[in-house]
Amino acid sequence: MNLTIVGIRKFWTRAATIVSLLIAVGFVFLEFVLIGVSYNTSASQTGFDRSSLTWFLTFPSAFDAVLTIVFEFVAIIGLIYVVTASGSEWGWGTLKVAAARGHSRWHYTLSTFASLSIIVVIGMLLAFVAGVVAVMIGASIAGLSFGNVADPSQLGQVFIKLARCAIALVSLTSVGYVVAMIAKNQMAGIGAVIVYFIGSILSDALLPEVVRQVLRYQPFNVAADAIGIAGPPSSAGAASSTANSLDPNLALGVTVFWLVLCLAVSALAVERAEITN
Amino acid sequence: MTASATLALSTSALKKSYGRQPALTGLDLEVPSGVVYGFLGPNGAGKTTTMRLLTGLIRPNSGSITLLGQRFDHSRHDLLHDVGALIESPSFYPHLSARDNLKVMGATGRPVRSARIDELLELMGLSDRAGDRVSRYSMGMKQRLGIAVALLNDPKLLLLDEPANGLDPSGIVKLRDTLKALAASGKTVFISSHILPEVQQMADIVGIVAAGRLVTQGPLDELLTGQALVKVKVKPEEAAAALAVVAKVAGDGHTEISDPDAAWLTARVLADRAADINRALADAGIYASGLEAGSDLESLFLELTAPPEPPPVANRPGAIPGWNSGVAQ
Repeated sequence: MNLTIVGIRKFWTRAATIVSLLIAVGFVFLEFVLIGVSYNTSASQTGFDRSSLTWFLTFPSAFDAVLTIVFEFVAIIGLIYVVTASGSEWGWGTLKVAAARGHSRWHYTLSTFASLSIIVVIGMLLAFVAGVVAVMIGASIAGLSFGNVADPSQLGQVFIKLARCAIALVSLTSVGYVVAMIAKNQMAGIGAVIVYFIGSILSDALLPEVVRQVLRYQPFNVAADAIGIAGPPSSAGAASSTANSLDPNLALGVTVFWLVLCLAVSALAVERAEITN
Repeated sequence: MTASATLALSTSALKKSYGRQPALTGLDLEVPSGVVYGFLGPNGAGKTTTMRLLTGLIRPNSGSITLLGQRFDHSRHDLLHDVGALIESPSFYPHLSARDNLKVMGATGRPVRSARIDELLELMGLSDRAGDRVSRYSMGMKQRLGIAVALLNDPKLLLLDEPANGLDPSGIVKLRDTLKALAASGKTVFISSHILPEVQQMADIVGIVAAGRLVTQGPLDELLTGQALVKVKVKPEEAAAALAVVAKVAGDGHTEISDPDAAWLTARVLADRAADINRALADAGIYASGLEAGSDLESLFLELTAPPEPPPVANRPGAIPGWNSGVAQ
């Protein structure tokens, strides 16, 4: 536990941590303010359905909107952050020092990930708070009432979804972590993550249906499904299609499976690694 | 050499290869407790590989390591709690201060008292800059901090790879005093270094490794005085006459003017013949202005680690006549 707390301290003071946090919080904040502006400017456009924008700017649906945006931004930024921070343990030789001091390698690997995960979750919470504030500001710009932000009947669900979002993000970042630990290099980790993202996008367009059905279970897909958020309503007023989504509880289970697998592989890779840098 | 119970560190038939490239081909080290051990060898001899093996960073292909009386392998990382190490260049979090780096690294391995961190900052002369980011440190300061990290857990065995790297002369003197004091207090200091004069001033025992194998090991004094070499410096104009005198004393021992400019003569005789040579020169009216008995570490090192003589140029395919200096054409 001590090593995890120390780890938070050492990572928190990195400039990359603050920059990543500011980018995530800033993007989320800006997103909702711009939605408010869009709502306003769309008033003059004939035929523009503003109901989907209302979903973003009024509570309780805005909680789901904020969580969706937070997940998307924090997933990408958090993933890159975790890959660079964990890769630098190899680059700086600090993992070498811990191993040479007789620290258990698997314990160090898991503690380091725990520290990074806590920072990612803190980032997620800050981005969420920024998003909620931005919804209020966006709604004001749009001339809408943002509704009851503190409705007790909704807050329970919000906290559950936040917890699911945190697990999903931690699971996603573990994918970057395992790549960095195997490659012993932050750039290789970032490269692998980019290839993975592009591959995910291309696979939707190019691969046959049967393969796409299997790929529904890949970490990025199941993490998004695990939060259990319905998208904005369609123009017909019904909830958006979730035909390609997994059941949230199943997705959560698969997400946890990926997390455990990635951590086990990370620990095994470091345990068996020849530390020569 | 010594009973295994008093050995701080030993290796037996230790082998390690990187792919097909052998790095160690059967290393047998014996490092007694409470000494400064100088581990020497040319580039690529296997020194850093040895250090990595001793700290469990890499695994041997075969052979064994005993640390502080216990067999060490990958599953016994707890044995490293009594070992401090600085391997290759010192490693830090550049955005943290020296104090925070020591705290972070002190959280690994055996827990470290916070007072110990202050002691080490003081010992390494870093107290004034303890709050500065390490990225702003000079190379010498980083080196001192690296040694502080190695000393964090008050180790019984200290493994240092080129510890004097980047240190200024006063830093080197202080390091030497610190390491000698540690050895005097019963700790064992194992130094891998290229700076031979520095090792000669510090080490009680040296081991010289070449091509992945130990070529000699023993108390430094014995190794140096055991070398059949006496050097005499005379006036240049007396060099030829002095050579004749020395050759007479040396008998079968080879004699030569090893440095014509400075008029140094060398005789391949045991060091205890130095007095005889000096007396004979004086009897011949030649007074030596310098006399060295035995070898210095540099000479010993070069002699033991010299690559095998290449075949004559004429025998080598593709050889360029005259390219290899010292070979008669």
